Amino acid sequence: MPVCKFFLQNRCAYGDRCKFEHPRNHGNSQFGQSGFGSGGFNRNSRSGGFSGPGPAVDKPGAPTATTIENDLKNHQMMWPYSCYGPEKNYPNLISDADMSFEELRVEYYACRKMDGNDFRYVNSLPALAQKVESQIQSLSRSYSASAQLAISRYDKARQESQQPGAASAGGGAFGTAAPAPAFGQPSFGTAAPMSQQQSLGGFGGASAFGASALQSTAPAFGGATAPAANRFGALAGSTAAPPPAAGFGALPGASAALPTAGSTGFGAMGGSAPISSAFGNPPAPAAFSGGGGGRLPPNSNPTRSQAPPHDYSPEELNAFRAPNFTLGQIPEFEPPVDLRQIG
Amino acid sequence: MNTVKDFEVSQPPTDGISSLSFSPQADFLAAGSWDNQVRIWEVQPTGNTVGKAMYAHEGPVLCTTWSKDGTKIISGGADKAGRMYDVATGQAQQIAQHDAPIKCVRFVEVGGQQVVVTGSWDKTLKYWDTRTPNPVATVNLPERCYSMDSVQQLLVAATAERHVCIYDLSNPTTPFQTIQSPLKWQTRVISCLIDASGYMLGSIEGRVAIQYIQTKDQTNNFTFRCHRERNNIYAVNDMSVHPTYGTFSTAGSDGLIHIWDKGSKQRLKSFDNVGGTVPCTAFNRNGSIFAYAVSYDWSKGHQNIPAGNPCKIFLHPVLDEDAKPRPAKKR
Repeated sequence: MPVCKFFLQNRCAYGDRCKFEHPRNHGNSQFGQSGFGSGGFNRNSRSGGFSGPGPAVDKPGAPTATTIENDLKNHQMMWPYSCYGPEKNYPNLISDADMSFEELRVEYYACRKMDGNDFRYVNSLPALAQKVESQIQSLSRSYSASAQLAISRYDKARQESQQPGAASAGGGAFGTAAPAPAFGQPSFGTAAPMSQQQSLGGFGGASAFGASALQSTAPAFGGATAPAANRFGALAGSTAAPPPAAGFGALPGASAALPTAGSTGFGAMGGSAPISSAFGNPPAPAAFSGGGGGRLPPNSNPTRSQAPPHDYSPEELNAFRAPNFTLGQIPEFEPPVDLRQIG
Repeated sequence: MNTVKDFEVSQPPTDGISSLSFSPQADFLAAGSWDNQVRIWEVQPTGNTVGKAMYAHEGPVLCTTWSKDGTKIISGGADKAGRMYDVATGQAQQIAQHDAPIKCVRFVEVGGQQVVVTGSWDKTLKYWDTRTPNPVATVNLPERCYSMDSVQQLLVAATAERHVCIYDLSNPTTPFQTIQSPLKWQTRVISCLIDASGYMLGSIEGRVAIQYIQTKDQTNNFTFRCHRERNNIYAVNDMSVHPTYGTFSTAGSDGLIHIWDKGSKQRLKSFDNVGGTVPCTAFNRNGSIFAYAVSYDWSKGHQNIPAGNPCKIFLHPVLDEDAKPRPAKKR
């Protein structure tokens, strides 16, 4: 079958229904044309789609000025605080810029909790955006120079990774690495006496072991007892399929009542007995209203007076002395007394 | 509408949901929330949910996972602590500590031992024997840990600045491979392929990459776009793998959820827009239930918290047609 010349130009409108051949190893696979998502692949790069199949680590298509220009001019992402690499597996051209949804959200919550308002959070955002903007501007002065920079960074990173001692990329088959002694620390698997955990500094929670009715099954680690060792030994080769009888061990019948793989969850179980409550073992935690295992009621926060005493590093002191906090470096504790200002 | 057909979880969290995970042994669902709580429900065969337990962190919860035997839940949070909840005793205790919030947690098996791995914004992974206060091992990452997953002997961690670190758990402290992401913008989520032959990455730029680990398989690597609408590009917030079929879901800031078959490169199912951002998803142990949260994910910053900050979790009974691989379309 002749090869479709439109496909090779990444613009065949027939996609899967085309009567000419769409070669699989071409960058624009049928994936992009089968109604998958709302578009095809990136069609800007020299190699015909940066996402196309091909040697992944060895020789990804080098970025071009056009690619970079398109990426930086046209990106419509909601989230501005991101690094940018111009091509698959290439080092970043915009770096030191990543800030995730969750990181900023944690900062926001921390500000609200400490200050009662979000001013510090809001004031810190422009600097973060500026980090990205200024790099975009400097890259936009010459996209071809930016492409050259990207290639030289890529080559440099490759050279470094090929030096002895560096982590090899694309090495041997996964899983065939010689099993090195795991962790090499004696504490592993030697089963510290249960009583030790009572004295763990700073770990305030009540011990879950020891007082529990589960004692015979709970210490699953370390092979402290023969039954425990067997249970996890059986898991060794088949982590994907845990033994059905484990779990809330006192309830051997529970797993039998559960639907088999692939059946629809709720419907298939209609007539069978409800799962007995695995949490019903004494002491049964109450449902939400009763507090269950919760040590704190919802939304309660430790008050300031409970904040642990703190040794201040010079950086932290500077953070408190500075007119504004830098996001990501906002101390999450109270300032020292002499730096507290009232009003 | 999915929201009509799907079951809404009772007594949902009072603030955004950060993490969903099912017990590997029974239909128990755990959710971590920005309201500092971890909640656990029993999912009944009728689809009803019964709140069973709740425990607290001293800051927002960012991640949850279950032990393989279903007796423990481990959670990590902005309080920099990893906590273990024993479902039999109803007690929670701290078992891990970092210098920054703990973003990711998994139970893994190393040398026949069950070990907890935590990934933190302090740029480390730490391995914990839950009985001792100090980590068994600490592994430095090139950047803050954003996402982590493990299947069999494969552990993958994605960090800020587009780094991806791959570990073979038979040698858990030395990276097997460290690469720069095949995606151009910030990594949001990483998830192992079901057979541990590779992993998937999702980025804030509405794009997913499928990456294989063995060199001979890498010609099969590919990326595709999703969670976009015209010029609007949304983040891929979470990906969950069907435990029997190996097909996977993507959930985005656009309020959409899709289920994909990477083998035939098709979209198997699209949910109707759920009416809010979808921060996290999970399949239950046999893939018969798909849980998804609908709550604000911060993708448009603090100015755009939706009115009333709605926070809901839904359970979708998975049909074979939703998630079973299909033969590739003829070309």
